[in-house]
Amino acid sequence: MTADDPRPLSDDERAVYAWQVTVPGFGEVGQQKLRDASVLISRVGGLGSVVAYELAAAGVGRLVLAHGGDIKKSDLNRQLLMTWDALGTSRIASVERRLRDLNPRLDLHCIAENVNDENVTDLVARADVVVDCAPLFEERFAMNRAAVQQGKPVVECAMYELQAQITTMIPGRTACLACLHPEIPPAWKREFPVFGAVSGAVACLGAMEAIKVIADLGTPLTDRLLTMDLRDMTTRTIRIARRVGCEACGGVGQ
Amino acid sequence: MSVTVEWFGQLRDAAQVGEEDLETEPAASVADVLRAIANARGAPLSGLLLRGGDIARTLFVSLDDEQVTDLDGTTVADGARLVVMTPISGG
Repeated sequence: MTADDPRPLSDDERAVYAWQVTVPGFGEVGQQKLRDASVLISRVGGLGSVVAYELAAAGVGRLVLAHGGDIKKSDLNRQLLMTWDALGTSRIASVERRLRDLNPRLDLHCIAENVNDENVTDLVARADVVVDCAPLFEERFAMNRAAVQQGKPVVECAMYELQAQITTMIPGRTACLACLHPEIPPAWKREFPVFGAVSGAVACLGAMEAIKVIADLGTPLTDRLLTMDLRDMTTRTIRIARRVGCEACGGVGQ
Repeated sequence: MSVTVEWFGQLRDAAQVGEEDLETEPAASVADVLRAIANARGAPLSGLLLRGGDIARTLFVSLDDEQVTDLDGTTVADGARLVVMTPISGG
């Protein structure tokens, strides 16, 4: 079997994905692409939990998940792979258990630490697509740099209060995270106001973007930043562009 | 001349409003508009808009749904809509 001749879907896979292989432009070929793909999600919290769950349900074959620490009560309004009975235990262990309950065919790479300068190159190398769900700009910028260097697409998801935004970045072709925000914002705080329904909403869009990129389906949200304000249900699509002299991607593909 | 400014992220909290209509000088640049707001409103809004008297580099600004990369060199027209964002994240 070669990359051009992927192994056919099993009977179980045909049964589980029956409702999506009939989507025009996707089909069994798209399902095979998902099964043979690897996605890095960092972290697996309010955003990442839902991204991981949707991608596990959709049949992405390998998930590389990075999230440190133990489950706290304040995780439970939005981190849907964490459970009350597991309070005080490893977040990533809870994530692994919940995802395996849903999809035992998954190839899970669960790392009990957050993305950092030491592990980022290896983690990004294990993935075909990166979904950035991390709260701190230090780890987001590290992931952005590694993705640019390795030419890996990144789906950028973010939320605050009742607002959210998302864009899909292709190194060498589109803006990267540092094109939009060239510096770490000094006023940013680790803990901020948000509903789980807001992080879940943008997470579903992020999962769909990853599926589209992997399966070459539809038109990814490249060169555009989609913003949403769920307070009044307004959305906006803003044209974005690479920043001349960007420290992260300025020399790539230009 | 009037422009609409829409606040996003921490700026929305600081402005205490989602969007507002503001009077500006004719041929004002995007940076002029933001500096005028910062000077008129003071903290906490000014602390997010300015850094050392300059417009903070971390801001993302769009004008009529196009990203603005040259805040000083881009002028706003009557009826324009600015969206001003501080960076936000996952978590």
